[in-house]
Amino acid sequence: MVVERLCTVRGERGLLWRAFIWALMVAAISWTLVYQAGKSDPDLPEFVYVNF
Amino acid sequence: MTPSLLDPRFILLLAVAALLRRFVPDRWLLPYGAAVSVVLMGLASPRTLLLLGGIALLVLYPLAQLLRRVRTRPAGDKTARFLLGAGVAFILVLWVAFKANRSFGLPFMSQSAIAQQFVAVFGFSYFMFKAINFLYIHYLADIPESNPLRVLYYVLFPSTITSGPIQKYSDFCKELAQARHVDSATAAHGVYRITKGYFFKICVAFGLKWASDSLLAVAQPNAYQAMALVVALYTFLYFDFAGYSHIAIGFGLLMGVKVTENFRQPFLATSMTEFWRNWHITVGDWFRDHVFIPQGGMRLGGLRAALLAGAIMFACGLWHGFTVMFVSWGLWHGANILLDGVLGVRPMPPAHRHGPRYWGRVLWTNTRVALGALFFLPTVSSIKPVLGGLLRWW
Repeated sequence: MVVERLCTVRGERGLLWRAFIWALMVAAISWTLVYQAGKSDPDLPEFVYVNF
Repeated sequence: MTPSLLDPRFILLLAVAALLRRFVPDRWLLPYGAAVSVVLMGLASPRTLLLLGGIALLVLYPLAQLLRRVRTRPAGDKTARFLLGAGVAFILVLWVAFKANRSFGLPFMSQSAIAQQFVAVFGFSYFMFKAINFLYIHYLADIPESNPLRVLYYVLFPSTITSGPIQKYSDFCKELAQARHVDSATAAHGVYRITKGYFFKICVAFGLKWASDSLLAVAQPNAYQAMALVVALYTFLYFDFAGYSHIAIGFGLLMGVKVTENFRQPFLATSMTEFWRNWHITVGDWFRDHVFIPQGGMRLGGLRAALLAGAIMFACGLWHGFTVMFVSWGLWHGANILLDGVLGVRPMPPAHRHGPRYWGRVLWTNTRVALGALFFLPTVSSIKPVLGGLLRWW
């Protein structure tokens, strides 16, 4: 169902491309989080614009 | 727990609320959304819930009802204007109080254990924009407003409460009027936006922050290091805030609300005004609708309109914070908008967007904005070595 709808809007290549990019982003986020968690002083600063 | 899109518990609760929404009957979607907002904010920051929810229900909603009644009376316009002015003044006074003193405490509970839960108020600056928009739209138009839950949901909408995007009340109501269950394609798009946002924040912005911190540590940077620092700071601000906006929009989609976009290729702007139409779009739109147009806008003529836009940027600097750095940032952007106005610089039409002249304009605009990003450094003294470095080519 999801594939059908996305294909209708963006075409098959669009969906595969987005899935590929999505997987890359998830991999990069996971790697960064694992790398951060392994450090003695993990650091992930808050969004700059929070609480302005 | 804090209402931050980096707090795993808050993110988890948002995701659970979005999932459970699928099982809620259509007519209960509004109460469900309002209840989710209240519960999430109550768990994350009770003080924020009490303050923002209280103002929404005890000030904004009754004032909107009054404005509706007054508008229909003969010669009621003057009274409506007074009510609008009183409401806006009330919100602004509270905002100044919070801005001037972040630890604005409740005196009767300052020493109690529960006071720890009431330390921070999140998102008041963004709430201020929403509250004024809510009153202004009721002053301008006759909006049938019979459900206080809608107002509560509007001001406490969980994914946008801490940093926007600042959705207009009319747009929010349109979304609620088409209250619907989220289909699979929209849910997939929402998840994609959320992932993109976290990628921007956790991978790209984090790397740029590391790079700018490393370059800041250089005591006497040369021109290349100083330029790299300026670019790192500028792009860090973009990826940090655009990342936040992607996440907020993604969670909005999962909750059945299409949140207004906040960025539209700002790096391709050919003038400062065009830049501000594409960077933090919702705050630019807010100032245009609530200050620029009511004060005369483009009808004032080129130079006076540019002066007004410059003054608005100064106000925008104050909105960022009552510090020398942010006020200077506002003045810098205001002066550049004024300069563009004096020189008659206008955004280039789509047909002319190619070739060296176009890219030169893009580079000139981005250079000015990037230099302005230096005002996001903590102190004036941290800017001096960078400016010195920009002149050190040998």
